[in-house]
Amino acid sequence: MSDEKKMLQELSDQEYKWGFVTDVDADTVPPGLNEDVIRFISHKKNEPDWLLAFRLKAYAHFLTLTPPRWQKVQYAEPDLQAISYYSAPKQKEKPKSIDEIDPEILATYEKLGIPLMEQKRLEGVAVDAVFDSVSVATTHQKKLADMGVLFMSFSEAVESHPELVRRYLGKVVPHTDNFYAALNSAVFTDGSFVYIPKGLKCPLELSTYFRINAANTGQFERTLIVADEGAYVSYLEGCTAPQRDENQLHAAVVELYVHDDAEIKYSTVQNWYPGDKDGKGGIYNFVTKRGLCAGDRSKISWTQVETGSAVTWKYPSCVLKGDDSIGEFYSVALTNNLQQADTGTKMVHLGRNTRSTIISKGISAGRGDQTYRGLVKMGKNAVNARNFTQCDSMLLGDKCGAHTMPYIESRNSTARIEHEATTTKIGEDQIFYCNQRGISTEDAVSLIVGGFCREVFQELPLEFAVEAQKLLSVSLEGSVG
Amino acid sequence: MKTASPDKSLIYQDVFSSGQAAEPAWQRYGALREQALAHLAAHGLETRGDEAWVHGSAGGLAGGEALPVSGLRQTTATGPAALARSHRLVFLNGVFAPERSNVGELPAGAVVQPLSTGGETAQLGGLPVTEATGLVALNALFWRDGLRLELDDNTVLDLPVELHFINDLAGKPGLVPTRNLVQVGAGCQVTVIERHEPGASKLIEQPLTEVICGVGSRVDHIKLVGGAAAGEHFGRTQVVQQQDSRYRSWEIVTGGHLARREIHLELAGPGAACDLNALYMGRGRQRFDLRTRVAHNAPGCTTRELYKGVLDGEARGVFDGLIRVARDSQQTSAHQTNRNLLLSDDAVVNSIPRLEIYADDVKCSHGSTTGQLADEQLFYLRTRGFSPAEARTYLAWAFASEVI
Repeated sequence: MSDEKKMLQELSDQEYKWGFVTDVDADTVPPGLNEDVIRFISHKKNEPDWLLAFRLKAYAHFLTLTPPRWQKVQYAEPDLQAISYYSAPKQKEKPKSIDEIDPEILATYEKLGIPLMEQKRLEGVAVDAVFDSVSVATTHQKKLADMGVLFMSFSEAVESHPELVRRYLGKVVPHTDNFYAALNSAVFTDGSFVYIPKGLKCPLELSTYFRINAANTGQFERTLIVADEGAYVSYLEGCTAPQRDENQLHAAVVELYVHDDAEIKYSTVQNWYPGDKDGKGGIYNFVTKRGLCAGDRSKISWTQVETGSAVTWKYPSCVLKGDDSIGEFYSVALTNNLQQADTGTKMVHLGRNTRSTIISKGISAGRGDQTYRGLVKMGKNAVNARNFTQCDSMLLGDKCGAHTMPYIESRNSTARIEHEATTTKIGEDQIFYCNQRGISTEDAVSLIVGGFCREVFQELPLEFAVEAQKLLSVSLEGSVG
Repeated sequence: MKTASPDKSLIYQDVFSSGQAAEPAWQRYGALREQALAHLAAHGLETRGDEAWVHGSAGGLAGGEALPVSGLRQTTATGPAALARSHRLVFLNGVFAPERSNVGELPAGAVVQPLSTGGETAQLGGLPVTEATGLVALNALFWRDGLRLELDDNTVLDLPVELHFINDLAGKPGLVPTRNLVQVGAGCQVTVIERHEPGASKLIEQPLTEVICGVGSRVDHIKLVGGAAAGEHFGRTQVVQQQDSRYRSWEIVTGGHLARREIHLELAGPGAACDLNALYMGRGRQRFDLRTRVAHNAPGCTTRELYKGVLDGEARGVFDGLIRVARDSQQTSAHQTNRNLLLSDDAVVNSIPRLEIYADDVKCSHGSTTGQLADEQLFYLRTRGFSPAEARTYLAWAFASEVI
């Protein structure tokens, strides 16, 4: 028992490894939220009038909303007036190539293990890196462009392909969706834009790396991915932030739009700064992610590994509108110390023969508190729709909490919904079995947790799976259930 | 968010103070009624906005003007057939009807009587699971009568205690709250059957039963809501279980235009076990709402929940179950199952099985399924000569019989 305590202690004491701050000159607007700031952002980014109108409409709506309180997390509400809504690394001109990017920034990404230098890149992955609010570099641009894939920062897309952006922006997550989506729609600064043309299976995996660097800023990025008929893309997202004592807000919006026979696979490894062991500081991760399977036989697959953030509160969702469309959600969430996560998914079945699968694995350690909250809704026309949900929680230690709150609604008698959830700890017999075979207790825990999460990890693209495994084993070092 | 503003609760206050002189029952349990009045004045009747009302409907209570009716104590309504042998108490419009009741012989150490007789008992309204909610306050303010069952240690009642609640306000709208207290000592055994018929439309029946299970006691509690699909029923059971006690509940809901039943149960002593079952079968535009809140506040307790619904026509069913395992309630075993069978495309079901777990050495699971009758099973019966209607009936019956 004392061993267990000691190891849990070690686990709790682990430091955040990505907590450094990069010293770069940045253009930052003074903190505050008002129409002028929105106009400033829009002007700074050279946006067309319709986009400014979109922002202002969202802001007007935002003013009518109050922050939601139904989620099962406790936190000091962020002071939205104390946040600076624009922070960009200072540059004289837009860099023509990666060589012109501030070496400090490049060094930061090196530290994070995201070398932007293309020659160093693993073949097959294109990266868009977002530093604070601005996209700093996108790799493999040319190769992608030759195939007709548009992969660029959101601001670039607004300049070069305004008609596409205008057509899809806010179609999946309207500015009226929720408090933080409205805020994002008003003040979003940058993000990634992806368009995969008809019939193309994108051979590269596209990746965005987000980093919050400056103090007192929030990150409000906007990602929009469109897969046209028969297209396929695998998209990866990673996040880190420096270690600071105050809470920083990350309120992103991700929209996926999938046409007939197309597929988007979206994978996230989220490792924002979780705060120190007393719960001081850390990122508030309040993100709205939603995909629309607009076309028949379309497919969206969300895979997420959540290990960071002080408070995570997000529900990557699928709206299955097209007939025979498929939604998938695979999630591993780890909460440690005082981390809190209220996460899950929404599967809204509208079309006929739509299918969805939800596999959620939650691991709570230290004084972490975790909630799976998911909605499965079968609409009136969801004939023969199917859903299977499995949520498993594992508790490491007796001070943490694991909660499961599914919301299930069926309006069609031919729809079938299955939900299963279990909550357990690692059995002493399992550990004993491993010990008997010469596996140390620590390795046994790692082995068992690895097995517990396997169903999700095998959905991740190879490199991400490796990263996720590492993240998890680092977080679990020395923990014995 | 409140549907009935505190101002509207002035109506309750008026009705209560003007009716108090004529209602001997309202002159009893003064402290409890004061408290209820204060709650209603401060908060009104919360029937929306929070988690307890997700997908729920407050029906005729939403207006905040459902009021008790005086002077209607006689009725010719007969109610359901009585059991051949039982300790029977009948309540007409919430008032004890001695001419229809038959308590019979009781063993030593047993009290089975209307709550309106005898001295006041301090236990009433004193359960720690009693959250201050508008509905509880409304009941506490206006109840006139109900069961008082008290068993001294090691008393065993061989016959069930059978309660009939018959309501007939001659077509008038009105609220009929009743209150029951079941308090059993260590090692007791008893079965309590509540039979409710919500009655005509605009009639709102609101029974509240408190159950205290002593150490090692066995309590079986059956609640039937039947009769015509017209009136409304808001029933609530509050249970506290001491060490090693076992409480089993069956809620069978088929009647009423709107029926909402809640169980709030606390496992307060180690080794206590509860077994909660329900079957709700709705058709037409019936709306059933079943909620459970189980708090594991001691180690080594067990919960098993099985709630099944069969919905036809435009019926709507809600299951909302929460099992909360407190810190240090180790060796908890809790399993929650909700299964729904939809027989029509217009029926709607909402299922919210929830687990809140703060202890690590627990085995908890929940499952929820919703679907229709399997084609293979229908086909199997058809090949053996059953008509489609018969096949459906048998399969639905088989589905439901697991609970009974």
